[in-house]
Amino acid sequence: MSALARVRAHYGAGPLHALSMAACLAISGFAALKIGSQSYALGVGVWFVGSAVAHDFILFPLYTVIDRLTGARRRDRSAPSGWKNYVRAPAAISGLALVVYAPLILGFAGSTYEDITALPVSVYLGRWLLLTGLLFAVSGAVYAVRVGVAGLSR
Amino acid sequence: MPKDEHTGPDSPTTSPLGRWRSPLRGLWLTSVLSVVLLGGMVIVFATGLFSYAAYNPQLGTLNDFTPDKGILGFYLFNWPTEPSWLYRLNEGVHVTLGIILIPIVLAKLWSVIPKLFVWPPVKSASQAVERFTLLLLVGGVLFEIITGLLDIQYWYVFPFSFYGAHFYGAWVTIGAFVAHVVLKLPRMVAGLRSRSLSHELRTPLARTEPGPFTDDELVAEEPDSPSISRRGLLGLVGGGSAALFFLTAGQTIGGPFRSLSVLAPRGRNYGSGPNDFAINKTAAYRRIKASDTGSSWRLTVASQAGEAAATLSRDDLLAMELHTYQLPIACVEGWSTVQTWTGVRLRDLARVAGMPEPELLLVESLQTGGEFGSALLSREQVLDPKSLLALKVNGADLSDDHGFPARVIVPAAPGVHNTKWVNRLTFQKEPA
Repeated sequence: MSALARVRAHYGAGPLHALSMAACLAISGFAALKIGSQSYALGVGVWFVGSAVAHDFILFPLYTVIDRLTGARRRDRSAPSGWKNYVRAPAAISGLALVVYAPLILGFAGSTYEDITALPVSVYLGRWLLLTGLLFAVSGAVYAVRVGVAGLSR
Repeated sequence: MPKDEHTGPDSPTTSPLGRWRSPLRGLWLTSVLSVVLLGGMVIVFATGLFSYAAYNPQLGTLNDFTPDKGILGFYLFNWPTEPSWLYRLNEGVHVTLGIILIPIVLAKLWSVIPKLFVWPPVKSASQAVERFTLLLLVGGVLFEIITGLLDIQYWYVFPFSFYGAHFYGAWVTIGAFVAHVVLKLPRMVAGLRSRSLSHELRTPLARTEPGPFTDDELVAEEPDSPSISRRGLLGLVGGGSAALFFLTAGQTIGGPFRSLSVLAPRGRNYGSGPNDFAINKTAAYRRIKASDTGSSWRLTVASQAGEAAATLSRDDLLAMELHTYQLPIACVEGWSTVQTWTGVRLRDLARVAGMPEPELLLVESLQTGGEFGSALLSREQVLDPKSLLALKVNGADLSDDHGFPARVIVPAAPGVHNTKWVNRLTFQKEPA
């Protein structure tokens, strides 16, 4: 067994893998050490791991469950057309906008936003609701046109 | 592909949490999302690092929120003043692109999530290390997105300094990103070749089939029948990105597009007057007292700390040679606004101070607390003919919220270096 093969057998991958990992740990580790010397190091660490955990164990299961509960994942191949995706699409984009701009829409940053910008933050909830309504209306209209066209050509 | 990662039909990728059912998961879908992220994230990283350079941190700790950065500031250079829209473009791209990549990041994580739950979790030393670096990558990307989103919406709920955490967090992410790309690039290329993009874009739901369950650990062993086509899913992800672009980009592009970005923090109109444009930190928020900005206000111009060469009233400044330029204010938060500023050139004030060739300028203001009450400007920034101590905007006196009696405007500088409520300029030959 060659030296390389022995390393491969013990490590489980080749030298390129080991080199990449070493480079990653050197760069990331150096930056992590810099964070480690700050007074706020623990907060960064908690938020760093917390971000991944929040996605994998909260956001991902949440949207998966919502998708399953609405029955959008089941498809009856004999059904005339997939109306469910006309609900999925506006719901997904509306949800995305909410996740991205939640601090403004839900007013979490309320007084700070108003102190900094001299403008009321309360407009965002209404704007998001209007946007959501518009998305569903457009999606519904497109679906209606498609069904109509399909009906005419039958 | 390393042998240990092989999970073919002999070793089904089942998790203790149940089986994965989506018929769309597979190497091709993940690879398409990956190639977009690869390009996008390189641009976001680069513009982020440029943004750090734009603060000219090498001029002194006043400009530098991470003074112990060491070698991580290896690339720093004196930020130019031309073209004047440089920082506006850089930061608009950084923030807007960062936001429109969010749906692609989420889709990519969805496409590979079965791998998070592979059983047993660790099969070899190499895999253990790689899984740790993937935590750095995923945690890092999400950390940068979340801190960025919270910062631009002024929800300062995080227990750390945004500048330090976002900067060092980016370097942790870059390290993990580079290793991931080196390791996975061949797999991504193979994935892109495993299906024809143009063929997939012509395949409707009725003809969408799950990927073959061979040598592709992402393909479900017993998939449901598809409820959306691959092109439908890609369209949904792209539609999400397009929606976020329209909801965000107007705060950078400005003009009629600003009010179209209805959810952007700065997709707002203040009115139609000369001072009706985005305010960053009102006079009240910075506790600027009206008594300090009235007729008793004086600008101290000095060449060394403690020694005043001149003390000028606002009328004295208005009597000097005034210049008018159209220049942007561009915030690190991504929004920007272009206005027409009138004021005295900083280089003329350097002559008043008796130092026509300064190496740097310390700008101080009436603001006593909080960040950016003062800033250091470089020699290039002081000597640029468009760098002004502005007294008027769009022909009218500055409003209190825009820095009355006088504020700095420097082309291509980060917004916070355009100090408001200025009361002292100290031109220096070397850092104090």
